[in-house]
Amino acid sequence: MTPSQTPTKDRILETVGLRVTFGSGLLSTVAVDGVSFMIGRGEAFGLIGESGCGKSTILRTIAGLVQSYDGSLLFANKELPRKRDKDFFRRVQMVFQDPYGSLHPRKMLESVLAEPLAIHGFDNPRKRIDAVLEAVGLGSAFRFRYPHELSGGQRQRVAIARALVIEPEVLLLDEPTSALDVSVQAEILNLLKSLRRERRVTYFMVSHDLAVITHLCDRIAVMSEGRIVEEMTVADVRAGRAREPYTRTLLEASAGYVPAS
Amino acid sequence: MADNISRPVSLSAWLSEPVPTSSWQARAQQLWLSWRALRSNPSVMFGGTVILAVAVIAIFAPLFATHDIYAQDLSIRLQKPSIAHWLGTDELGRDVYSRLVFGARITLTIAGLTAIIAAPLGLLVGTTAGYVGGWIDTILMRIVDVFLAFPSLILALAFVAALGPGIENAIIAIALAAWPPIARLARAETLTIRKSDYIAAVQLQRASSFRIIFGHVMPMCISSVVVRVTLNMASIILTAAGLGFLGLGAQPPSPEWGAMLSSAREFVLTNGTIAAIPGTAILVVSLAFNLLGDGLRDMLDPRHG
Amino acid sequence: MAEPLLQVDDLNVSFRGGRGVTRAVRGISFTIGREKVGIVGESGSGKSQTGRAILRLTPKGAEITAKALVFDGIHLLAATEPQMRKIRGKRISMILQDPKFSLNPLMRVGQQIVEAYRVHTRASRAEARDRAMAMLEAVKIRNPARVFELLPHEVSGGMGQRIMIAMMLILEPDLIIADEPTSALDVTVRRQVLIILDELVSRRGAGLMFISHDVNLVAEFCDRVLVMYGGRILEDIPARELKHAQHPYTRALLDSLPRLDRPVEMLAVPQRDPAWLDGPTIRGSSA
Repeated sequence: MTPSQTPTKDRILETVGLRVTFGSGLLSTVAVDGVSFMIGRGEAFGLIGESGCGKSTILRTIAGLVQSYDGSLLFANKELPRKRDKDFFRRVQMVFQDPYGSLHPRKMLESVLAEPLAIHGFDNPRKRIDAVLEAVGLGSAFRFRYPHELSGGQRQRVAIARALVIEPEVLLLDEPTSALDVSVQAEILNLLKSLRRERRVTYFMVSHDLAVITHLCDRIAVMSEGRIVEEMTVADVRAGRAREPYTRTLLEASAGYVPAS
Repeated sequence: MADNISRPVSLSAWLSEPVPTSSWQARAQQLWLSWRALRSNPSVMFGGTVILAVAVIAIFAPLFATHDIYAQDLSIRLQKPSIAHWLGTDELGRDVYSRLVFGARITLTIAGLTAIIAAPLGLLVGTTAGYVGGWIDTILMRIVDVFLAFPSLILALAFVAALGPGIENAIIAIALAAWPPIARLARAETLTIRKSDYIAAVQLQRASSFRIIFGHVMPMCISSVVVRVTLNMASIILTAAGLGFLGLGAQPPSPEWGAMLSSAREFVLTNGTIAAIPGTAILVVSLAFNLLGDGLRDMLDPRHG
Repeated sequence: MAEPLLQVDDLNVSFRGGRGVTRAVRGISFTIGREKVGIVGESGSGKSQTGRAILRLTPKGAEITAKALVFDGIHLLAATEPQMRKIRGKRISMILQDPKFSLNPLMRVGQQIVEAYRVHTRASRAEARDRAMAMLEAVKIRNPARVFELLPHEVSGGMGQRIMIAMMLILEPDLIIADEPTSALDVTVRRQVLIILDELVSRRGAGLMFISHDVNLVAEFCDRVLVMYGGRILEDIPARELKHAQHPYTRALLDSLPRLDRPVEMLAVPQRDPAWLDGPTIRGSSA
């Protein structure tokens, strides 16, 4: 159920009946079971659910990392081919969950940031790299560092820089702060918020933490066992206006620990 | 930037500067840190020093040798070590010590060239098979399986029998026997690496498979391949010695250690040292490579430690 | 108040590494009675190493020193390894974060609980099995006979953690050290596990050291909170007074979390003051 239907011209991402199955025959599991939703241009959309609900699979399928799926994916109202083209990757980028795994251990940061620029034929790479490092709060001196010299928060900033250096329209965020310390999480969330304002990027974020998602997003969808249970605005979440029982359980559990009386 | 040229800075200060100001400096710093890590590992230092010493002796063999290695003098054959001949003489009166020194050249040449042929070949096949998958993986791995089905010495013998005896053919034969395990190893590493987020990130930049394999996957496989090749050196040297022993490697009068061992076989009862000496040399170099490989493995891949 | 279960005075844990000595825990002092004490801090604050130092389970190369490390009259640092083995599991036990990694993947879970029991008692196999089944029921596992025969990879995260709790509490230890016991669990499962832990701990009158990075969770679950930073304890305060915490770091931690009920435009990022690294511990009123 969608509380508000986004008009067609404003939709940037849409899934229709998305179904992803892993394995085959007796061992097959349905990770995503007929999911349909849409994201408007410039919106910050959150997908929340517990581990194994399929939310990361949806993100990775949209990103093109999962090649076999049923249903359609639309980007800017055009159906996406199974094998994405270069233009798609220029306009859609992703930030991964684990800052310790998303940067190549042997590559200097300059090389990490120069690569997407080279692949997509951007000019002036030096200036762009400096600019994006400043934008994520690191500074151009970090060009010559290696990932193992950086903290988790710094690595995540680099991952964000790498995603933004080719100026995408949509940023896919896979639990970007769940592997970080609480205080570092605050920095990264603030950074993501201000970058979105400055660059007018659409965010599609996946998380298991309701507080984080409501801080960053405008609208959320709740997922459980491969299906979308409910879609609601963040205002509804804060007011506790949940319709489905699963959503209610989730909201209650996220409110904190209450000892059994 | 221009300003760090005007201030003369000592090398160690430059290497330990916390914020590098050029990519060259950053790379140099990383190399220096690796060197310091190597230095603190006793296996690596011992093995590495021995190999370095053997390499120096091999390169400057004419300076280290005391006699002409081909000069025969049947009147002084099979003599025990003496002042004139430090390790004695062999069955044709040639100085054993000088032949040993020149033999080091052959051994290290075989070891080095085999590594240069087998490692890149194995790495290329393994990473391609592991990354691309599908029928390319199947075909390449079945070829590897065929090679692996034969014990390495038998395989080397077969190649030498087909190509003819001689040191170049021995090198090719040994290399052909040595590359399949490396391909297997590279493929296994690639299968793990392929699932990493940093590979996914570069796939999301629409990088070509070529760029990903050569630029991203291979650099990660190199350390385990280096360890594996180093640990395999002992068996490569022994295979070369085995071929030499059978007369299929370096041909007489070449002072290859295996050939020396072979010709000393008949005289073991009268003069044991001329068999023991090349045997010991083979042992020492193999042991040094093993220690180096062990140390490198402990440093580069702590899971196996 | 009764004699505390655990008394720690000036505990130091340091590691000798490539770049000199790293001091993970730098002179901390606290006590734990028969209550739930939470130790909260970020990664690198030394909280995990504190828990491990008490059981002398720190990694090789770690050096533990303290003016006093006393558990129920036993001086833990002076104890020999055989004496420590008698204490571990039986008098002090430890619950780890992820049952995927803390349960033996090759052994059936019921068997692991039985083994934990038989290591310290002379019980027969049948007796131990009965006790294990009773523990599985105590952690609210609905079909204990079926779960007894499962392998760790066949149980969900929440159930695995409950099995871990059963294994660690079967010998009725006096002190339980829980190192991030719910961090690897989903939010809805977390509460079930905490309720069980709460019940078992208070029923047996044991003490609990709850190590976590989640300030809010610790504030709601524990009786007292120790805030650690850079190897030191910055604040020692009853949980219900956490809202009125005095140390700027504690305040900063609380303020930097996004909250469902209090939306903010930008989250407060804790500013770190190097003076905290050597400052005194602020101790709130006890009891």
